[in-house]
Amino acid sequence: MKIKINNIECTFSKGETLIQVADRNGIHIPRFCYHEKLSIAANCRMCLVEQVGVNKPQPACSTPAVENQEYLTQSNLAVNSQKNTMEFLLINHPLDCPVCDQGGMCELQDQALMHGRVKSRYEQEKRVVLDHYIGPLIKTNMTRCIHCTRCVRYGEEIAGIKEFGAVGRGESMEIRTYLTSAIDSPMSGNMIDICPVGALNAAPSHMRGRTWELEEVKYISPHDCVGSNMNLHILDNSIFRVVPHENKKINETWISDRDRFSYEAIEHKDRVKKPIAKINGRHIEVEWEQAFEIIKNKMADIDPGSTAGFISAGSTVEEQYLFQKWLRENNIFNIDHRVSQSNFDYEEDDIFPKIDIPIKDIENCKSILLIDSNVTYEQPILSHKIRKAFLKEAKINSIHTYSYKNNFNLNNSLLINPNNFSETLIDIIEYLSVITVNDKTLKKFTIPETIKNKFKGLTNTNIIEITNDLLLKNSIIFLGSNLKNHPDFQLLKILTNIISIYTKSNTCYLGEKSNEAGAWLTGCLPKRREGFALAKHQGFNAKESIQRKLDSYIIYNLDLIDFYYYSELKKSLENSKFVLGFQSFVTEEEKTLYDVILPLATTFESPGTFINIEKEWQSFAQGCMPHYDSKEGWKILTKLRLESGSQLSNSLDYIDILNEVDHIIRNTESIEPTKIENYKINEIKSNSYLTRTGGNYCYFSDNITRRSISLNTVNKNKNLVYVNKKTLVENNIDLEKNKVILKQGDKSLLVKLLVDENVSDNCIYISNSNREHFELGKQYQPIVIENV
Amino acid sequence: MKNKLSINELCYSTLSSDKPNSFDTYVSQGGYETWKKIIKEMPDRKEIINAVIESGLRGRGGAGFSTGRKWSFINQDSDAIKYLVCNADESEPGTCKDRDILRYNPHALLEGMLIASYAIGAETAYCYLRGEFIDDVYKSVKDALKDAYENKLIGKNILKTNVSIDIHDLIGAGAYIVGEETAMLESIEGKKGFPRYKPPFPAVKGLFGSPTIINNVETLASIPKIISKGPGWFSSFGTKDSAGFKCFSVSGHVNNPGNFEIPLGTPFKTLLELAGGVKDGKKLKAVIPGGSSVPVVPGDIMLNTDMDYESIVNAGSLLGSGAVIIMDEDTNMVEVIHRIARFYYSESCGQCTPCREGTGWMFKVIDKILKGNGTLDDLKTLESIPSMISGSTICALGDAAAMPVESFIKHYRSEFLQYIKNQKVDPIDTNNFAKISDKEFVLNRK
Repeated sequence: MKIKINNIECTFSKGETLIQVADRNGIHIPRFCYHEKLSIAANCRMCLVEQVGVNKPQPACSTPAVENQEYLTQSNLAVNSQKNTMEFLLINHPLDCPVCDQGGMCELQDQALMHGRVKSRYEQEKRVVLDHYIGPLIKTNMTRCIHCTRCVRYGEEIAGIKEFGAVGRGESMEIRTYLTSAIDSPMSGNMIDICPVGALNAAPSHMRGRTWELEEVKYISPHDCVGSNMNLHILDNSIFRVVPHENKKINETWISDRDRFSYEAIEHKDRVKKPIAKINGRHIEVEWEQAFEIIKNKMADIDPGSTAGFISAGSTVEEQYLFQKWLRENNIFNIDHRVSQSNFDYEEDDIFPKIDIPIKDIENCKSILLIDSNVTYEQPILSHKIRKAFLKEAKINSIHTYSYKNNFNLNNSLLINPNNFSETLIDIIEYLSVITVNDKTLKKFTIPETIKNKFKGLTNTNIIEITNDLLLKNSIIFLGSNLKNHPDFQLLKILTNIISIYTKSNTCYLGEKSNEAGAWLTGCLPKRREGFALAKHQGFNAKESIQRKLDSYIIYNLDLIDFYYYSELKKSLENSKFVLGFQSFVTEEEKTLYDVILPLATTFESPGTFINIEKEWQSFAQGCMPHYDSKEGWKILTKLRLESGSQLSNSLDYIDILNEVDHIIRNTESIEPTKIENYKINEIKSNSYLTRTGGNYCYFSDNITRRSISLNTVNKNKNLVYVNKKTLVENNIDLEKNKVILKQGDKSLLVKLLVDENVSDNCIYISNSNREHFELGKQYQPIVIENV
Repeated sequence: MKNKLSINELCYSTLSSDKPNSFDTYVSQGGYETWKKIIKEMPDRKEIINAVIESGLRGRGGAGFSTGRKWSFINQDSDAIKYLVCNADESEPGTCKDRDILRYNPHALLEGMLIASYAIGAETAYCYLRGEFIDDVYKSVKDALKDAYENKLIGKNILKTNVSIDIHDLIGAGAYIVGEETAMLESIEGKKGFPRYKPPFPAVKGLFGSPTIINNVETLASIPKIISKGPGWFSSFGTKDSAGFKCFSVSGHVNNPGNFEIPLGTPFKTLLELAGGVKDGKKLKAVIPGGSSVPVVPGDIMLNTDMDYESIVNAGSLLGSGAVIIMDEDTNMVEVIHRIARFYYSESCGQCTPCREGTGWMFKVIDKILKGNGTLDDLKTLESIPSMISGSTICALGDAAAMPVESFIKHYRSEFLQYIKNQKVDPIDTNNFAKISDKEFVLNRK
């Protein structure tokens, strides 16, 4: 079908509006309220165009293209209508662009240049709107608002949490939160981008620089496991702000608040500014040469067999590759990145975090099962995809220990005690084994005896409904990243696998950090080298390395609280002979445990590559030069390899290293895991103690986010402990008082209590959001609650 | 034109009885017979729609679109749930005709709604009343609904047939904009009253996403008699294109203000006589013939105009809702437009730019002129704003706010200039208004 716009013939398909056809053909129509990802509002009236034969101007955003019609965007009628709208928009809008943050990238400013008058005819008082506090991330200046309602529609349609609305009528209409409350959505920052004027601004960069002074560098999210694309905007060699970079396959045009505001951490007081060495019992700043000298001497001294190296799963592929290379060249084989994992059973056949289908296809799934995943806050971009599936009427179910706040509705949910995860999954398998009796494709598959022994007759109708949904075609199971800390983690993975075989569904093991897949592929593992090759010299895993109290430890880009065996690690470090850290940040207290700390550039200040759960390689350039005296990880590691006498061919340049890594592991086939029926599954225990549950708070998940001040002031309730009433009564807690004492082992903590029925029975929900929570003890372990 | 003027024959037919709004009065006049007959005979829906088309009934809310044709836009073959909505949010300044139908003849409305629901295939109908009706009008409608339900004329399986129609009464919260049909749908859905953009039209996608027909009270109350007496009876009144009766609410400077239901095409003079003529025997200065949102017409033009859709368009205005506002020779037109502009300023919903910003701008400029601070530039600005608003908004409120301002300046420019010339507020003596031209004005200022 065809229409003519400005005498240019354009084809269109049924249901398309004029603005879509024009955009596709490069014909510019001004607009404010229209946004291709949002529903049509047609309220700004900026896109009025002429339809030949119709005497009223038509809004291009809401007018469907009609076969053989002619439209004019530059005719007198169209241009006059646009000019009129422009004049109306400007009468109440402050004309003070020089002091507005949006100046220079403002759609209103651009349009005013094209369609506005030279001088305003409006002489009366302008509207002034009171600003309400909506949280630490967005600074409002509502006097500048032009009521396009993009932010309102964004909240309703994309973020799925309706927080903004239009209050009042006519000229006194205001865009604001209905109650004066902080915005809670984990994707709220996108409202800043879609706001066409300077009404919604990024608070951390508010009034601190001008758009035209910024340099743009493409970057990949250092926090989520999907690799959202974003742009760093650099001012004077520091990051001024972060905005999304469109990637249709991953994040579309959105990024999470965590990705947008975490850069604040770069200037945190914990930043390691110069190499630090412990000399004569005191930690002093030294020069790089001196630090290398100390390391060289110490490395010659230590027993490689009694040394372990841990690297963050958030470091780049290049750093991880060089790290394990350097250690293995020095005969250190105890290498691991799985520091937050508690259980290492069946580890030889592990597979890395993965998703069976492309991320962009999640929205087409018909059924989704979440297993203890707080996906909306931990992986906002994936949650957005799940929300899209939900809007297409997919059935979404969840099995969890806490009824997380989601931006989609659950079809069925099962609130269970964390000790019952394996039991619940076995219930599902039992039901499946009954209803799939006639499925010939499953004939060859037998369920391991240890699991069969646990069958006990099914009564819970919720489980039946959840399982029936999974049997729909095109279903997927998400295993939440919190479960890494679960004592049965490996077993849960196997059970999930069995369920996926029975239901023919896809699975997704959510990674916690940006480059967990990279850490697997580059061989930061005790038993596998780069490219998944089986290691000749097998080392200890993270748990063993810590528990065996080795002589020396090398810790790369990790806070000690990143370790599941945090308290054990601290003891091991205290008793060790040599501790080397490659750190961007270190707290005063942790500093004393190290012998040498090398100041590491953050991933913002270094080029690198992240591999997401889809196994997509995404390289990014250096955002800004390393701050202070820190250096890029690949440089430090290359230097160390040279010092320890490695024969390096030409890998002295970043690009050479990238090429080398690429060459070795790009085409690695993931190893075929052992057939599940061949697993010898140990006896399955079930516990019944009062259990601590809850994962890391979404803005406390890695060493960067936990140092971003703005992000960590978003939620006032993050430090509370959540318990349901039944559990409190069972433990004789005085409900009148709002404080309780928690005890784990010999540690205790006084915390504020929130009675919350979203928590399952017999467990205590703590979202690990400060160091005290880590000091107290581990997740999924017994805990005691007492009156003050 | 017939020899004898027929007054109050259709919607106000119960007015003469003692208890005009009671069920018994309505039934004694042959009320609900049409509905019972339809239920008994179950005629084809198209027959009813065709009868309404044939009668020439046009929407009485203001737009004047053929009611029967509106009904025919509903896709009768689809299985979708359909709705009928009665627009009883009568808030156009000057209009009070629907209030009296609701107060004194609510059963005619209910019967009309039942017939309309039957014709379009709706099983649920809503009657949306303006918030200010909460006292006696709301009670009258509620009582009528109760009576009709008790007599099994509404509800499930009406008179033991398989026809089921429910009518719900709703009351608004006092916003003018909700009288706009799509804003009303939003309000019924429990949302803020913002008009929707069209297309899609309500007959395709209306209330809760279903096909919906929205009609005015007077339109629906006219239906029973059109069906019972036949479309020919109805179209025998009025003119060729403006058939039947129309209720006019005459207000302003007249001796006997009130509602008068007369055949369309009746001369304005006759209507003015019915209303007792201009108060205190003064001369007629101007008339707003269809509610505050239509252009004002100078009295001398109006005296030679008939009250039907076409004649009033020829006179430079619109019949609108039929609210005839009479202004005598002493009326200060700047003060009048100041009041009207303020109304639209405070009632604009704020959704689209031209109306949100423009209504306030117009009011502020008029206010400035009225306070004696205006300049010629202000008047020129004011003259340009209406054309910037009209035609570029989602709903008709933008046009409604623009048309009066445009017409007041067009016809009474000299009064504005007088304000600007004097630079202070003076009681206006219209006789002394010389026709000042802009040119002369500039010279005087020097």
